[in-house]
Amino acid sequence: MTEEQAWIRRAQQGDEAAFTRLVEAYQKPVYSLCYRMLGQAEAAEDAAQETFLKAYRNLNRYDNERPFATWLLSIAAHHCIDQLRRLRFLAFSLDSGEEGQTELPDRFAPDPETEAVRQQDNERLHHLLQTLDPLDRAALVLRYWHDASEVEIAQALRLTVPAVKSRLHRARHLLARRWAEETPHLHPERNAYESPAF
Amino acid sequence: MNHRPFEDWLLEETPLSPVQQAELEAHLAACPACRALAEVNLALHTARLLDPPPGFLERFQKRLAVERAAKQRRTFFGWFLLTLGGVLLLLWFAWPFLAGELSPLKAAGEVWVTLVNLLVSLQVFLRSAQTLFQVVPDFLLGALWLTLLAALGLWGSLWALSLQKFARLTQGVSR
Repeated sequence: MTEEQAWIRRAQQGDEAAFTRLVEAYQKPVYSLCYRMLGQAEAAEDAAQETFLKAYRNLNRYDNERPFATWLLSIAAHHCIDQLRRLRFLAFSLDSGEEGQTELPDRFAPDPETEAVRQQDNERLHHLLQTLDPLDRAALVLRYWHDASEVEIAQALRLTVPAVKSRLHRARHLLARRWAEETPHLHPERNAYESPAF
Repeated sequence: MNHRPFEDWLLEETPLSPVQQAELEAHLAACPACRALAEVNLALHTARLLDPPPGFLERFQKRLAVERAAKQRRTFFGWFLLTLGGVLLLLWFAWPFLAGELSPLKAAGEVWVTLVNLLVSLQVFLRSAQTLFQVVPDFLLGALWLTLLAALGLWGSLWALSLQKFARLTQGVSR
């Protein structure tokens, strides 16, 4: 039995200190997913806290055969999707502005200029993510931020594997199109002798 | 411009041979759409996890303490209502027998015995209910709780009634 499995067993028996250890271990991935889904730091923290509370209330229903990370991130993804659907009809600013969280540059990166460009690209990506359908966004975040396989994403989001593949492809197509619209040197140019880009 | 197989390579992210890689790079130089897809791929692959704001764990522990207190309050009120309901139900069933016995003074002793029997029955009922609800998950619906409560109350009442009748029978025999 690994250390994590021991914590889970003890937490299922009511040991709050063991559950706190789990929160400590998973606060970063859960918060990251919530931030990428909701786009705002305050909403992300609230969602992350609520995710851990839901996990605490339903710990007895956790299947020990399944990876704990997948189960926990599934709770987080569904909570964020529910939040987004509730906010669908409210005025919602996509510009994170002051409420956004600045990703700190890697001080040990070999090339600071490249690092600055990378950070800029990530901020653009974060902004564009908020324009995607919630389920597409969740699939993308689980795939690229949490290295989840298509099977794990399908389990977490209660989709089939082909549906996950389709959503990932569609999401990336959409991101690429919007990325190109925002980037002057990437505006698609059509010449008379060429077929349309899409 | 023919985007296949370049678009497929970018979407599937399949490992490419050096020749395929060179072909892709040549295509990207000429195709803004595929170049955008490649840039998005790069941004997705270099994305990092973010740390939560400082104090996240402490704030969660406070929320957990509030959650725990709320759960204890719900459990206490649940037990209180269950016990009260059971006692009221037992009294409701036993009242016709108790009312007739309370007025004559010479029957005070019989009433006392009956009451003791009722209390013992109540104790048995509560112990059974406690055992039952220790194994029942928290998420039982309120309606199901009431149904179980009513069934246990009925059982307790029947028990009290049978004891009452037995007491009367033994008195009849002794006379």
